[in-house]
Amino acid sequence: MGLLSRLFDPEGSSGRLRAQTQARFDAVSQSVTDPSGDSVEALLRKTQSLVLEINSSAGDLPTIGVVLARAVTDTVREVLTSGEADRLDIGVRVAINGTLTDYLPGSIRAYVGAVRAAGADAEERATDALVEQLTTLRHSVEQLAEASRMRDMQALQVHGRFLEDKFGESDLDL
Amino acid sequence: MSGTRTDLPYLRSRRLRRPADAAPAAPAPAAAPAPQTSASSLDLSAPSAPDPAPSSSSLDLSAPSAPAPSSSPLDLSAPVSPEAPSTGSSLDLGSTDPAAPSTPSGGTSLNLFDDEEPASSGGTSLSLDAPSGAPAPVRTSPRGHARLAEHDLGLPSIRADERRLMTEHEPVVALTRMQSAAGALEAKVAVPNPSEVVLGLVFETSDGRQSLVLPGLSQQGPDPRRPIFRATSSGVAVNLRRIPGVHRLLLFAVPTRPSKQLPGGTVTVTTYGGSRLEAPLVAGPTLGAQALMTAYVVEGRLVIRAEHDPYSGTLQQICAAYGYREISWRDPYTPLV
Repeated sequence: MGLLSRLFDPEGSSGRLRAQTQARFDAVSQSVTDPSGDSVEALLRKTQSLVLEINSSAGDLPTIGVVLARAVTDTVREVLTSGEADRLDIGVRVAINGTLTDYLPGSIRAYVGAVRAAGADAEERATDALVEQLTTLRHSVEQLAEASRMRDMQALQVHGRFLEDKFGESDLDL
Repeated sequence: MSGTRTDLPYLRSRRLRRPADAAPAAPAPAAAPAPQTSASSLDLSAPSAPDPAPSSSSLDLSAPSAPAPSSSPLDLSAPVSPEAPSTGSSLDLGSTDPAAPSTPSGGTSLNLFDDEEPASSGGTSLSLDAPSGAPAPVRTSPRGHARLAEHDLGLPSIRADERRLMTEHEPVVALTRMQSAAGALEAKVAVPNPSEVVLGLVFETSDGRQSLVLPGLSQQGPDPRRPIFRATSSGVAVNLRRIPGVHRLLLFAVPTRPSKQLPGGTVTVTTYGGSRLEAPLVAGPTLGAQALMTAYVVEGRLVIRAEHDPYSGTLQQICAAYGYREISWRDPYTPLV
């Protein structure tokens, strides 16, 4: 019986088990090598969920807060979808991850909490503080985007030099 | 009134000139705005044309050098041109508001008009083009206090007569104050069969009311007697003369076929100055409604964004996803308005 089942189902349930174990191992090792999920795909997913959070709390935020927060997510998206996005260095990815999961949601939630706690009197001051924080955040991600654009430009120049070396006139030609 | 302000002689001389300027403005029939909104620099009743028909020549759309601005209530150089019929109207905080002529804010704003605002830049303030230079120095919020700082949003603007495709990479356009305050913002949808989709607006007014307009359900809102938003089967419109009453809004599409299949096409939003924003309408199945664009009024400027929302939902879900939670619902597709 065991022989027959092994003949007709050479991998069998043990094979499936092995595949499952392998998948689990892959998942664990992925989470070990990438603990905060700051791969580009993960960051894009976080951008999307942050946009959802901003939109759904738009009723509690001042309009300028929504507009500035969405400008930050726009810039982050631009960095993450640029040509060299898969070679973003770890510092940029950590900064973006922090912005998406901590700094920007933190500002928004703190504002909502402050207005809820202190009432309409504090709204003006809270709005000013929120605008200031979001402007700071926006400047920092703008710098990331600028660096990313520079990297794209450098990549283009490097490629140009490569093409020149490969197909241009060689210096050794007589 | 300001007789106590003897320490500010220039203010007194300012006031002495004021009544002389304002006196001819009183009999001027058409251009006198409603006095309760006269403290707002974004006075939307100020464009004196009662309807935004293009025949009204007081709003020159493209030529800042036209002489029309001199007769306009938004003209910042008004105090130095004595023949202007509506000199004392919209930006004049000091003389037309009888309640607060001697407040310090009135004093500072008069000071700004005299000292810091060059008369030559007043001509561009009526242009529906993209911003051409210095912003207006003094604005007041709808609550009436002067806001001194203007936040530079750093967002792309649009010129008159320009077409702009709002792609996923450039989804946002900030209109200027003039573009946000003249005529109407009209949204239409261009699809092969126009009966397959209708547009609607859900909005929040500046006094915190949320409601929506949808053809066949509630055609005008928030108050049918003085509507700001209109929805017909051919599209929706926002009366921009009443922009101070608008806080934010969301444009959505509702497919009318029973299969709730949204046809592919284009959504266009046009302003009075002829600017046109276009966003794609992606064909596909929906759950009942699809969010298309949002607009937020930031310090008198409309910031319009094409959402490119990958998710659809019932109308109730769409409204909740964009933070419009103070609407009651008969069922997930039908609001109680």
